[in-house]
Amino acid sequence: MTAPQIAAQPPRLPPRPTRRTALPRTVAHLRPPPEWDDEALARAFEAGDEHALAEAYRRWAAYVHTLALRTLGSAADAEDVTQQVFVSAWRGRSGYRADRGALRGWLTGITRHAVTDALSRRSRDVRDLHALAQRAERAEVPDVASVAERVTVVDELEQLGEPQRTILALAFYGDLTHDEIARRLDLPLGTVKSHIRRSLLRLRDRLEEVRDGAAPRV
Amino acid sequence: MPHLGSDALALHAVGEPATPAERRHLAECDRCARELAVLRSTAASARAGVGEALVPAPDAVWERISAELGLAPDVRPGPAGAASAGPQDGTRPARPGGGASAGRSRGRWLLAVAAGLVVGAVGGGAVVAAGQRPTETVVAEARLDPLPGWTASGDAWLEEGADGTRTLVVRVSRTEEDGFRAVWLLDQDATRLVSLGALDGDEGRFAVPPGLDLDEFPVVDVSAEPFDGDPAHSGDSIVRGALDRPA
Repeated sequence: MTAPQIAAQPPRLPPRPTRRTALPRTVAHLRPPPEWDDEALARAFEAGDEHALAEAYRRWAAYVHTLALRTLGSAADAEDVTQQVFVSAWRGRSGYRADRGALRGWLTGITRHAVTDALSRRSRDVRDLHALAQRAERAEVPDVASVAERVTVVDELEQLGEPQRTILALAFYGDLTHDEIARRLDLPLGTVKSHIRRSLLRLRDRLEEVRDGAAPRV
Repeated sequence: MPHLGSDALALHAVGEPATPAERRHLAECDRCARELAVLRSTAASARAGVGEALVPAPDAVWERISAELGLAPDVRPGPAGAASAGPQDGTRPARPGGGASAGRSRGRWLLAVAAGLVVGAVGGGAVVAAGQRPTETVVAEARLDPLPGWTASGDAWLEEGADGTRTLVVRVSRTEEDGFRAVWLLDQDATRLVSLGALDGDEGRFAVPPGLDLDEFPVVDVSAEPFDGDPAHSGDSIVRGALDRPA
């Protein structure tokens, strides 16, 4: 029998253990879901926490519903699609990876597919003409994309706090320069400039997320 | 001239005129011209969205989702309307709705938190990571998440030596606080606490007093403490997370 090999002394400050997996339930629930940041919510969702589904619904159901309503034009169809989106997202959550992208972007992609499917189903229903359905689908897709962008902007503007919302409104719709905005709101010039920049960059990132979200399908 | 700053690009994108020097640069620099084009199209989309509002889904939609998926009856979306705050801009998450209903929902949540912690608290039977650490074993871990108003994050783990000594290792990203950072173990209601000491730098090791029951004090808390001579918790917690057995 040989003497057991003596393992080297571990370094005093070992690297972070790598076995950790999803966010433990207990950690997520130290604060109520409305206070989770989007990342914590995405991890809880990925880990299968039903409260994360409810919170995702609270944050984004209006966005999903509005997108469906503006593209389908029918309240009943928009409700069906909203239901379908959250049900498929939940059942297909194993296809979602929190480290690969925002949960909201993923939901947006599912919504766009659900809307496109509803539109092509509708055109098949109206006329049992294969060719027409195909043509309709081709024509509808870019429309869904531009509606998605518009609704995304509305959503993002609603989420901006003050004074960002007022600053953007004055810059976009009032056509005031940042000088004039700063004087009118009695804010430092640098503050106004940085709010315009940050709000615009946030919008840009949201719109990119929507465009990227067109890819996944559940 | 150097590339245009992001403030300048944003201002041009919303329609403010460029200086002659900036215009010359934009004519020559593909990178700045591309960025400006992206921001202009963003601004155009934003203008197109004016005057619209989101239309909330009727309550019945959630009922149908809940029924189709067979969700527990207490799983319900909170009051709508609170903006979610992503970590991207470091703003604090908005409180839900405000007012009485938010308070009620918070109360329910604290109950759920307490229940969850009882179930998830560190148990006696430690899970050993086989072969990983010959002399010390990680018996519990915690992710430390920022409290509203802070953007730091971190983690903590509890090591147990062969002789039973326990050491809590805490790592927290840098924060700007006036004073110093202190490490505590809290009970699940965050009403009773044990002080472990000051955190110097981003990482610290703290001896856990023998006999301290971690089932009773499972929550790791790092607070910002002023140099005011008061040894009590300031109430200003930076990050917090519950110790849990490793998966």
